Amino acid sequence: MKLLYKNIIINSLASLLIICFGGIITYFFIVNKIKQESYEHLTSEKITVEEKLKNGLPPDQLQGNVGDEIIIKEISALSNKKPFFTVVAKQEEANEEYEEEEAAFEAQAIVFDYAVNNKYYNITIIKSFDNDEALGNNILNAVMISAILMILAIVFINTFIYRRIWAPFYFTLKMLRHFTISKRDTLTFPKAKTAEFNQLNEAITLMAEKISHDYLSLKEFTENASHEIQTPLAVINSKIEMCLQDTQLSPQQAKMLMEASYAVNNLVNLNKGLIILTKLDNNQIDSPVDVNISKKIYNRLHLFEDFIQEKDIDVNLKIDDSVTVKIDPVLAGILFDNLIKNAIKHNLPNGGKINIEVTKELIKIANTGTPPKVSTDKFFERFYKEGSTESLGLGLAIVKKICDIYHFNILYSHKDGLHTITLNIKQA
Amino acid sequence: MNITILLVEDEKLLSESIAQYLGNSGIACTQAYTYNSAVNKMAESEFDCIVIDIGLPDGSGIDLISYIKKKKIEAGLIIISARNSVDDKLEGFTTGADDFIVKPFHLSELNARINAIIRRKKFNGKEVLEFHEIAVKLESRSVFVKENKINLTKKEFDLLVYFISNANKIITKDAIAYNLWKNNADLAISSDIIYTHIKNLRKKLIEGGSKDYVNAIYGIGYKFGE
Repeated sequence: MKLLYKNIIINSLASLLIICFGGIITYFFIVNKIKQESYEHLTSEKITVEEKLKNGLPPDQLQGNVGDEIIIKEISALSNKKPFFTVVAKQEEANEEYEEEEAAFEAQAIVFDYAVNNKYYNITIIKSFDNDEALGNNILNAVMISAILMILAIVFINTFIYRRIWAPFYFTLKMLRHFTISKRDTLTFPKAKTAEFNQLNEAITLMAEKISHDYLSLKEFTENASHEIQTPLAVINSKIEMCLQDTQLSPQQAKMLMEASYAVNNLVNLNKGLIILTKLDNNQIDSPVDVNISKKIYNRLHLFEDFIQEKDIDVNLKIDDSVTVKIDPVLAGILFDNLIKNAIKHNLPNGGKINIEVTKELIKIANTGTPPKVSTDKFFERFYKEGSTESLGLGLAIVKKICDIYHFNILYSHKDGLHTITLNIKQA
Repeated sequence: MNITILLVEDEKLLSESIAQYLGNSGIACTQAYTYNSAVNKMAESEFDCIVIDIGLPDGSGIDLISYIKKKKIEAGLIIISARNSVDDKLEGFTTGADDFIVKPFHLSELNARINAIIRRKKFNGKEVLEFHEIAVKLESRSVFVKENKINLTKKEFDLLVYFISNANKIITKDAIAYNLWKNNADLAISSDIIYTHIKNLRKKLIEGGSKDYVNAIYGIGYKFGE
């Protein structure tokens, strides 16, 4: 969810809650206050009535002078009850102006007994104040209006002002998204009005610089290391070759020299593989062009002809000649080199099969061979090798890496004595 | 044929091996370890071929080639480089190099390449490579044993040229595999294919009337010679 919507929702909910809560509290405060005031008022009315009666005003004349309504009942004796407040139901008089229906509503009343001239009265003074229901409605209205205004304000502030305030943040985000380390980009940001954004940008710039620097030095190191290794290897190789020319060499010495030579050779090939992988890891690849798959495959098969003949391998092709893939041509060469080389190397010693199928969606290369001994999940991992020490275990890792670069899905399966590698070449 | 080469390589141990190997094949090798000494040596004498390492302590091998081309020095140029990228090769060839060989290499391979370049330069490839009764016509890619033409496959022909270039030297199976199959040498080493090709070549030569010059050196490789 966008930060903007999150802000709006959280702020709106919080304000709504606070406003409702505030409304309820206000309601009770006001109701309480009104009650208190009505009690005070009724108490003073009571005193007025008592004074008037004391001064000899006949009780029946009190009606209309005090409160909304006064009920005076003559009683035989004073009760022990103290004066008390109560609520009475009162019939609203039809109000023509508002054409309201007659309705019962509650009014405050004070009830007390009073004795004057040996006569005893039970007096009820009724006074209606703003009733609770109307008050509640009013408060509810106020709350609702405030809430709506508040939410409108929140939406407005968030959408318009928010955008301006957060603009530097989104700019930073955009810059980061387009930042590619291998392209040696540098990050520069304009000065923002908000201190935190400036701090963020400074931190990011520093970090990017450090990452770029580390990346470059690591890349240089890997590249240089791989290349620097070549020269000492060349020295070792040349010395071994010179030694082998010695006619005085005993068969045992010759054997040892050849073993050393074999190991050096492995090291050379390993290094070559690692140089390719480093290049791929660093994305040092040329921009892709349309490469005709059938041409590449025929070309490789031609290069491997000797080996195919040597092992008497039966090659079956089902190739759609029109299939092209966008890929760096050198990488395409390495890809098919490795795949076909594998299919030959791990084939049966004699009379095996290689089936190659190319359609617009798939490239399938299948070969006969001994079934895999262990789990095949690790086939595409670096330095994975099965049994034989002759392979270095980098071939398929390189294949996988190239496939990853071009988003080809690669699958290995083994069925009916056929090892099959399937590349899904459908490019979006 | 007296062949002289200038070897510009800063790694002295490697330079020595190369000079020694080439010297044994009758190639006089002058060694230079830096860009400047190479320039001086070129001023002093002429060479048939100049072998240049790209990474020199006081300059780039590519610049040295530019210098050679500017001075119009007529010599075959072979780059030896620790880098095997397409870009490096392209740069080397566009500057004017005749060949590009990647470290580490077999001395026999370098020897064969030097020979090939000198033949191309001196004789326009029309030279006949001879070894006793065997004559190899490079331009027409045909082989004669005492005037009898024998038919070789492409690989057998290349193998014979490689053998004659490194005559009387012990050549390892690896070196042969690399010479014939370059990047796919590993496939060749892991199979019997080298043996098959050598067996066929040997048979054809003997059937054509040549002596058996192919000597298998047990556990190491082969030696072409008497």
